[in-house]
Amino acid sequence: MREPAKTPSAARKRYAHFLQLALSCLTTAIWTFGEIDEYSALVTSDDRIRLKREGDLPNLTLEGTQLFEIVPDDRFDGEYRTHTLAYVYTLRYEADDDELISWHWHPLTTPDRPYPHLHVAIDAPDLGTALSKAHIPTGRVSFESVVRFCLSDLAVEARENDWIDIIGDTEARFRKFSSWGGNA
Amino acid sequence: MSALAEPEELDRDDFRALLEKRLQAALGMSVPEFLEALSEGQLDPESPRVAQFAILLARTS
Repeated sequence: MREPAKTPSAARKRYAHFLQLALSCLTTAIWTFGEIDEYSALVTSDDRIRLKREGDLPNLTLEGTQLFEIVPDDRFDGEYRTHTLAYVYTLRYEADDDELISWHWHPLTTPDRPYPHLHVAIDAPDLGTALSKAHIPTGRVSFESVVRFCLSDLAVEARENDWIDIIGDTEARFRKFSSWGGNA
Repeated sequence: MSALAEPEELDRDDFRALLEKRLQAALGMSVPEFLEALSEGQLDPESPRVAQFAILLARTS
């Protein structure tokens, strides 16, 4: 169901609301958002959101950051939408705070590397290059897909029993309204 | 579904103060120090703990 945003503020709140639905599948933490310079941004309310894992598996932490702008919605007269400009989503081991996986897209701060990519902290000594420094190409990665990865592949305990439906709904919305890379 | 948590909106000053506080805690730097370190190449804008601040602050004057 479409929720028209008639003001920039309404568009910002709508965007944060749907990302919160995804985050709440993992944790009681929330997104905090506001304006910075001419842009808007979202940061997770704690930079070390604890992700409890099943059994005796070591816990992880999640940190999310997004930069975006509010633009007129060309499809609907008098309405506004968000346009994502950058993201960093990072998973760390809780015990030592070492980075495990980090999804990056930051074309404004690294114009020579404008494409989305992934850093993975895996030792591969015979490779001759540090994988954690390598830029593993990805498509555009939605926050929802990171949440799904945590729940379906990393044995993070779900906070919502119906997380599959919640993530499916919010990600379908992401795909429908993304201006690029919505299939990620 | 659990009671719906709602995201928190901060006004411009409070949001900037939050970022400054986190930057200080994470890297021990003020915003001007961070920007100077970035511009002089002392910090890699993609390195852990730096990338998330770089995307938010790197254009700040």
